[in-house]
Amino acid sequence: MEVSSAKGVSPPHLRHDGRRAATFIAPALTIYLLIIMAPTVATVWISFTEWRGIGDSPEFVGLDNYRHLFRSDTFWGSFNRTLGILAVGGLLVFFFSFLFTMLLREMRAKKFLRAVLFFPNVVPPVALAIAWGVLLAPRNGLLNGFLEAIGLDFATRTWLAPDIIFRSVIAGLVWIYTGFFVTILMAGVDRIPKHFYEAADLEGASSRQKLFRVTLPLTWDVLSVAAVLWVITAIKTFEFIYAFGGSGTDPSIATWTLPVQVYAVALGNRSPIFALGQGSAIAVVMVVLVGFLVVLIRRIMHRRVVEF
Amino acid sequence: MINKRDGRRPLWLIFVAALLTLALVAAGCGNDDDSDSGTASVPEATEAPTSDAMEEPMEPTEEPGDDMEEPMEPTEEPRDDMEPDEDNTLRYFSMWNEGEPQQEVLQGIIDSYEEDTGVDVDVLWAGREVLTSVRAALSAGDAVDLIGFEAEPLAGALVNTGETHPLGSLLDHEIPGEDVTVGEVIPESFLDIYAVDGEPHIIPYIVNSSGIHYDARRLAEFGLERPETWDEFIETALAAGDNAVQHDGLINFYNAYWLYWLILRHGGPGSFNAAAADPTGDLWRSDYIRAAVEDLVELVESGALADGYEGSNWPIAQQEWANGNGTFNINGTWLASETASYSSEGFEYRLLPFPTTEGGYESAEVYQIGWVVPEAADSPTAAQEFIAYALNSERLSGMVDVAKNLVPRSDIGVPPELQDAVDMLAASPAGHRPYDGVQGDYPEYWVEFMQLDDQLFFGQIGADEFIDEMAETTSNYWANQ
Repeated sequence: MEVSSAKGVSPPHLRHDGRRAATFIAPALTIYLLIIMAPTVATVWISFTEWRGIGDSPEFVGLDNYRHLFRSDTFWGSFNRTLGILAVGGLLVFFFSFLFTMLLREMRAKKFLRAVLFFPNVVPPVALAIAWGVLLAPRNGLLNGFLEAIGLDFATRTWLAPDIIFRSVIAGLVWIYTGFFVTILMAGVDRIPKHFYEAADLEGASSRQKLFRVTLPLTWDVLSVAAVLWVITAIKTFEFIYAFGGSGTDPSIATWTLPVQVYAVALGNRSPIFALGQGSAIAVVMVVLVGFLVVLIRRIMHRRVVEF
Repeated sequence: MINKRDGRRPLWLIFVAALLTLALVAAGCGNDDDSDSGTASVPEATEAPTSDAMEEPMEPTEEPGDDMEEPMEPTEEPRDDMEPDEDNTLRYFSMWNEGEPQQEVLQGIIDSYEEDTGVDVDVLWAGREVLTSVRAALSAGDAVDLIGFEAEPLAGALVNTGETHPLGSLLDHEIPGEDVTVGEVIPESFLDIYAVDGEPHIIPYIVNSSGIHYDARRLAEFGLERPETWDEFIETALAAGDNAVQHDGLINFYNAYWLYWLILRHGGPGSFNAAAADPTGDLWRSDYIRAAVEDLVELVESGALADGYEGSNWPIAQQEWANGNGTFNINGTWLASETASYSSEGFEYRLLPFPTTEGGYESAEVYQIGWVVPEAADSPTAAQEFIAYALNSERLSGMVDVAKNLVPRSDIGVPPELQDAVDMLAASPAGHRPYDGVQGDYPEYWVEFMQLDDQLFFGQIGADEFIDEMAETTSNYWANQ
């Protein structure tokens, strides 16, 4: 096993030739700036304006949109729900992902089972959300019907009631995304040479010890990327939440997260507000949140790269 | 890669700086051209009356909507007549989805209009979030000539902000194929609700209302009489079997029906709007609000609402109601057509006007679906000509016969299922806007209200806490404006 610094050294042919490098970088950089950076900068600018975006002109209002947001219970509700998905959903997603990764690692039909787990990711989230609505309906819902059929009447609930609905949303998201992260983690686990596990077996290591002494250290870089992906996914998840709780209607405010609120405030909904400036301020909060958490995760999870 | 040591200019930095500058300039100045194109000052809808205005409950006969707006200054003179358009295409954004009966009726009208006039109608069946599509089109600089949607969101998103064309001149326009004008067949009372500066901005083609729907056969099975007062309603619901009041609680604005109606029964038309518009929030502590809130708490605590109503996702509750697993459902008058395909055999649709309260007020909701012509329309004349064409009694009758809706023309028939609604509208001493105009006038406040209303309706908070929270929310809302 060889350990090297994460910081690479530029090959000689790329040194001392900034102009040529700029020429190669320019096309990709141009596209990136136009498609990613320019809208982001524009969004920041709009967040300092009062603008409906429907034929009127933006009026600079400084930090008013942010002041307004931070005094709004609706915003803090959406913010806390977003953090709920991020933290609670994240713990559950990674717990189940590791569990399935460990279970699948030694199974013969692991490719098939991995595909089964991944399946929710290829179905449109809106369709999944509607299916979950049917599953969790209070009367005649499939889940309550199943619980009653097996004699667990006491376990039936109004799964979409205001005090439970967001837990149901998180359960749905965990179900969808676990397969995705199992696929990522397994890609990392699959490249670990078998002789590490054989050596661990010979030395009498338990499953737990193999997880913490072999699997985790050798997949740390994959895990770090997966954590960043989860942060981005959790904060921007929209369609599933939007359609959760029924089709053809606005999403219940009890399920609003930051992206749903951006949509409701800035762009649409049945009874639109068209506060593009305020919606942009929420979007900026999302970007800051993602940026902060990604930097935090990268710092916390920073390790020297292990090569094997 | 930049090698600073060789002293060469870092080209990519210049490139980045140039693009960022371009983005900022584009964001900041991209709409300067629009500054002279008809944007209006904030409408008077956002100017709240003082709490003193509500020391006495409102007169029921007061014009709904009058409290909402002192019309804005029009930025250009309204047209005296309809001038020919340069373009021969009419771009129409509609709230209906393809396959809905209303869409099919309108498609038939569009087809014959194109054939009769040679105008090409480019229609987008956008569904209920049609204004999202409108917004995208307008912000991209694409013209929209005609929008058909519910009047309240139209008022909140476009009319109140001065982004629609005044349609006063259309009233004198003769309806093709008939010897009458638009103004002669559409009642002034409907047009006045969303009038700005005396001119209508929304022309309705469907008129709905709301109330409590019931299956008369089921009520008879229980040997019960149709209730008239709130106390009778609670009593009847408790005697009408399990899950008597079916309700889809995941729709926030359905939940709001109960409290809005109760406030208007106790305080009169305009009283809910006045409470929302009170910058001090003190009107929420008025007697009529407290009486309404306590009535709602009585319903919640009575056990008449169906089990799990707080987590019922549309359209489950109304399906159960139509299948005979419930007696009452508060909803719009579209419920009959919406549930017709799955209602149980022998189901007898009836509509109960919202129960009256002792010493309270009577009024009926006037829920219009209509057309507006955006101020920035390319073909405003074609749009108005289409409106006049579609209001022809023969063409509009499809909305009654096929779509089972009420229409604003009294000389067109009524679907049998909606006779109660017609009687209710005719008998009512006054009309009011849906949700008393709060949804349309203060859409952002409406979101705050619905969250607290949900908590009250789901029994999570009591009357005192709700009133305190609403008073605080209202004063905070106005402090932030």
